[in-house]
Amino acid sequence: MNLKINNMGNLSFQRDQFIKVIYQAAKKNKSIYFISIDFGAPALDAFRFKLKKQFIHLGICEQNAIDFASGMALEGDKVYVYAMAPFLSLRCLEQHKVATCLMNLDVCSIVTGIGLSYANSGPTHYSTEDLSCLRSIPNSYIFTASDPITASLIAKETLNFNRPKFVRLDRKSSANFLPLANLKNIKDGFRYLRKAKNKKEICIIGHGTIIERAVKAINQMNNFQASNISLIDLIRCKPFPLQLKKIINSYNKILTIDEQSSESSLGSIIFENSKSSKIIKPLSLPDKFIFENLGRDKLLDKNGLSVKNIKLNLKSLLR
Amino acid sequence: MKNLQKNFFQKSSLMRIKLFKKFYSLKEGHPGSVFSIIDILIVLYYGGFVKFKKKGKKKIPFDDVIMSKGHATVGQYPILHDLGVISDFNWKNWNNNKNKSSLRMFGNSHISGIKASTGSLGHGIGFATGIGFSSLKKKINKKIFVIISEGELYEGSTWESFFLLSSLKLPNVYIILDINNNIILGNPKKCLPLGNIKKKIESFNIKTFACNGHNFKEINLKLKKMKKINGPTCLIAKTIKGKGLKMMENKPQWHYWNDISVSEYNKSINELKNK
Repeated sequence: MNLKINNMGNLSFQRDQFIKVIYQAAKKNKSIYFISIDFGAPALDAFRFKLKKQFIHLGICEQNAIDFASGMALEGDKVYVYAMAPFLSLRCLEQHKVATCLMNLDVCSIVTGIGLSYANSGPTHYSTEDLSCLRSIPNSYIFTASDPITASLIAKETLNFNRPKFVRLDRKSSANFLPLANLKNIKDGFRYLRKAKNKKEICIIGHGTIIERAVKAINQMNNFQASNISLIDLIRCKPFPLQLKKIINSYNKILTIDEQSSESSLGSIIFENSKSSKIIKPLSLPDKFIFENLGRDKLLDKNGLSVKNIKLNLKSLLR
Repeated sequence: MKNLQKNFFQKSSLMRIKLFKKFYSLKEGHPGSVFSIIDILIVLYYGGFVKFKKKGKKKIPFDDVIMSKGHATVGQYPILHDLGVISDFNWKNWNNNKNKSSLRMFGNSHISGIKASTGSLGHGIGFATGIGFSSLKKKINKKIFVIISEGELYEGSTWESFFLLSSLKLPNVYIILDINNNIILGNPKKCLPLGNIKKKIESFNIKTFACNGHNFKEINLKLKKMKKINGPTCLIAKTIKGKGLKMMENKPQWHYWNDISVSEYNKSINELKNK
C-alpha cells in the first residue's frame, strides 16, 4: 500500500490556510489582532483591507512587535504576529522569553518559512535553528504544519487557548497528506500517516514538509520492508504529546527527520522523550552554514536529507 | 498644595527608610537606581496620577506604571504596600532565602500591582504602547506611565518603540526618563555619549518636558501639563543616583548594594530620618 502525498490540483500555501481561519474568527471577535512585520500573503489582503482596525503593519521591528503585542495581550487581546521565520524566531528571542512566555500571554508568533524554505537566499534567511531556540523557553506551545490543512487546523486550535504559541509554517505550496488531518490530531499533537502492518519495528517521526521525503522513501521500499515502518507527523512538539511518549517506546527503532541543523533537531526531542535503550537515528541538516545555490530540493539532497539517504538509513535500521 | 508637598516629603523619607532597611537585610539590590526614581514614584502614586480600583476585596491600580528599568521596581513595593496593594505578608516575608513572599529583586507580573515583568532593559515602552493602544480601542480611559533609564537609550528596541508610539500618537502613554548620569561603569558622557536626548526624542514628535526629579512641585506640575497634551509625552527627569544618602549619591558603585557596618547603617538611617 503506497502512501499518498499528492492530492493533485489542490496545492495551497500553509500561510494562506492559516490566515483564512484567523480572518474568519477576527470578523466575529474584535479582540483578535494581526500584526505583520512587513510580510504579506495573498490571504492577508482580505485582513488588511476589510479588517483594517484589526490589522497592524509595524514595519520591520521584530523586537518591538513582540513587546507591543505583549502589551496588547496584557489588556486581554489575542494577538497574531506574522513574519519570516529566521527573524521572528531569533531576532526577538529575548522578547519571546521576557514578554510573551514569562508573562504567559496570548500571543501567537507565525514563524513562516522554516528550514531551507528560502533556498538560494543563504544562511541569513534559513531557519535551521529556530526549533531549539524557541523550545528552550518555558510556557510555550510549538506547532509545525506539514501540509496546508494541518496549518488551518492548527489555526483553529490557536483560537481555543490563550497561552504563548509558535506556529512554524513552510513557505512553499503543497498538497495535503492523505488521510487528511483532523482536529483530534491537532489536539493529540501528532498523527499517524502510516501504521506498520507487522511488528513495531521502525517508526519515522518527522514534522514539516520534509515528511514528503520520508513518504517517498517508504513508497520506494519493497512491501515487506515497508510493512515494518510506521510514520508519525509530530504536529505539536511542545508540550510533547504524552500519548506519543508511550507510542514511541513501543517501537524498537526510531528515525527522526526534520529540516533543522543537527545540533538542534527533532532527534533531540525524541531522545529526551524515549527510553535510553532505544535506537534512534536522527536525520537533519549538518551543523554548518549552507551557501550553495542549488535550490531547496538539491540542497536537501546534498545535505543528508535525500530520499536515497532516508532509504539507506531505513534499510540499515531494518537489518 | 502645601499639605500635598508635606505629604510627599514625609512619604519620600519613609519609603527610603523602608527600602534601606530591606536592602540591608537582603544584602543586595540596586539602591542607587531606586533612590533616584523614588520621588517621582511618590508623586505618581500619592499625587493622584495613578488611580486605583477594587478587584473583589483587593485594591489594585487602574492606571499602569511600567518600570522598564526593572532593577528599580523594588521602589514601587513599599508604596504599593503602604497603599494596601502589596500585602503585609509579602512585604514582611520578603527574604531571599525563604520562598514565602512573591516579591523579587526584579519585578514581575505575578506581584500584585506590578503590571509587567521587566529586568532586561528596553522592553517598557513597547509594552506601554501595546497597553495604550489596546485600552484606547476598548475605550478604557487609563493612563500608562513608563519609567525608563538613560541606560535604556542604548537599546535599539527603545528607539523602535519610540517610533511606533509616535506613529500611533497615543495620548495615554507617558514616558518618564530618569537621567541620573550613571550607568554601571560610570557617567554615560564618559562612556558612550548619548548626545542631545531631548532633541532626539522630540524628533519623534513626542512632546518632551524636563524637571528636577527630586523637586515634588516641579514633577507634579510637569505631569499635570503632560496630561493636557493630546499625544505621547516624555518627562526627562534629572535625578541623582542614590539620592538621600551622601555615601551613595552619584557613586556608580552604589548601583548595587555594598556591605556596610552596623555604625554605617545607623548613621544612614539617621541621615534619612533627618531629611
